[in-house]
Amino acid sequence: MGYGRASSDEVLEPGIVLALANKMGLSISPEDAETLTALLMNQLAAVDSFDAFDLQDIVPAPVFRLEGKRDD
Amino acid sequence: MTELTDLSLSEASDMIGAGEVSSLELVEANLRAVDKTEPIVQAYANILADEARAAAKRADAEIAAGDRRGPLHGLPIGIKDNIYTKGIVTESGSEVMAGFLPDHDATCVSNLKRAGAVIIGKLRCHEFALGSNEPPTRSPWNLDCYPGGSSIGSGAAVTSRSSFGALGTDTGGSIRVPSSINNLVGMKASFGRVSIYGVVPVAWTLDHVGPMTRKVQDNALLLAGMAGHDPKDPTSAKQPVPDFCGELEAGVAGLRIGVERDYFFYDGLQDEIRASVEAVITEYQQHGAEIIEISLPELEITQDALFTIVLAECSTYHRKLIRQHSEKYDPASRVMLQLGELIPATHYLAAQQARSLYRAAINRAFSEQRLDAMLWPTMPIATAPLDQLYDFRADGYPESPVSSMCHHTFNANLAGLPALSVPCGITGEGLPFGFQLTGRAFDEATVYRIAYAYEREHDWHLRKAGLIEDV
Repeated sequence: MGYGRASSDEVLEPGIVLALANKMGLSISPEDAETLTALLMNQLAAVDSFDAFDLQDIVPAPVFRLEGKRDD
Repeated sequence: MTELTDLSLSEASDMIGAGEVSSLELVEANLRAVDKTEPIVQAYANILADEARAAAKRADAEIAAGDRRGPLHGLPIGIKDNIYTKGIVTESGSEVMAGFLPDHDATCVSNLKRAGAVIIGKLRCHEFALGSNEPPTRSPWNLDCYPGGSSIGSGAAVTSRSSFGALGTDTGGSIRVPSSINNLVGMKASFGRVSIYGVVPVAWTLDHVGPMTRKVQDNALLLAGMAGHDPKDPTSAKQPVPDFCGELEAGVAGLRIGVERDYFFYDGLQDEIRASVEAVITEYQQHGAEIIEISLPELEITQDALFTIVLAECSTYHRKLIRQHSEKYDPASRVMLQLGELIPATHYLAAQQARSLYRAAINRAFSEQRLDAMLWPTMPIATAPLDQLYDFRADGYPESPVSSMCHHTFNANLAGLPALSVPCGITGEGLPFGFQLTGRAFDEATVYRIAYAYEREHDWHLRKAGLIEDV
């Protein structure tokens, strides 16, 4: 999917991502680490778009039910 | 191509009821279509010819004995291959699940079997419905263009006339996108309306199962056969299943339809689609609906919110599998699942907060404006060449086709509201597209009513891909 931005000029080193992934038991090659790092840079910026709204007092409900509340 | 396959699901149902055609004849007609189209289209992961014939004979015997179970009895239906079918290989498009034989049916499948439907085959999907790889399935509308995913085989089979209807799954648009691309009607019903027990998860809080058909009435019949509370699914809603066809003929006079333009009619919306959907809106107005312009600035966060949730949840499901079978995953799927593990928990929960914010906003719009539905294009583009999916769009708009295709669909998964794609045009290049109706929670009946009011005035649903005309 077409994420297309990073939130800052900070560079995430592929070596760090590789080490973290390996520590977590994920099997990735140095080449995969380059791709994963680029994707992660963009993904970490995703929450920036939320800052346009005040979410602080919203309690998230990871599994929710609609249960007929037509107007909730 | 035999004329039987040109029947819609509801027309075939009526003929079975009248004794004018048998279930076995319908199955054989579908299997002949399979023989003709599958070498090119490749919609099926597994064609269940013998099983379907046997089930059809049983259905015919029951119907002949006066024991017709309902409108789906004897009708051949295809099932997306990420949905469990007891004793039938279910691989979810992945080598990781190669040869997997479920010991039970998904609840949606057992409901359909109880209604008498005949399972004609398992339909290809993107690996684990992640939409990150490309099985060889092709849309008969254009073999060089993306046929829509992740319910890729479901769309191709129904438009190829090798199935009267199909089940798809939709976590971010995977029913509505292939429906729009293949000139079909596709419903992502309310979250909890159809059990997701026995469906290989993508993201538990966003996953839906739903019907893909050629006509609105077909879709309503198929949804009724699948829906209902399921105690085995913790997300299943305790809602009665209404007669979704009960108000189909009621028209739209007096209904209030919301239209949001800043997000859905943005600069990335292709001109032909914009003009056609504007014409749909005008037509509803002429038939007595009130069009209400609405504002939903929260739509801007829906892409980031959904994608973050999907990555985190699907990576959680695959956490053990990817460590055991890393090499069996398609590289594109694997990297997305690895990415999901690296998302901070705070980001996942922030995305769920954003989802709650959006959900409250759209429900508030429904309530304050007393809306019966909202309307916008299903996708801002019709589709794109297979080799250009991840580049910037050929029309110069700075967005990849893949991003464009889900731009208009993610929001309904976040809100959990019913969303239906309805055919409304074909581009100058011969590519179909649709418009999308979003309804109030558990009010699929009104969505179908509004859709049918348009469908009965047009013949888009009767148009056939050139490839199907030729075989």
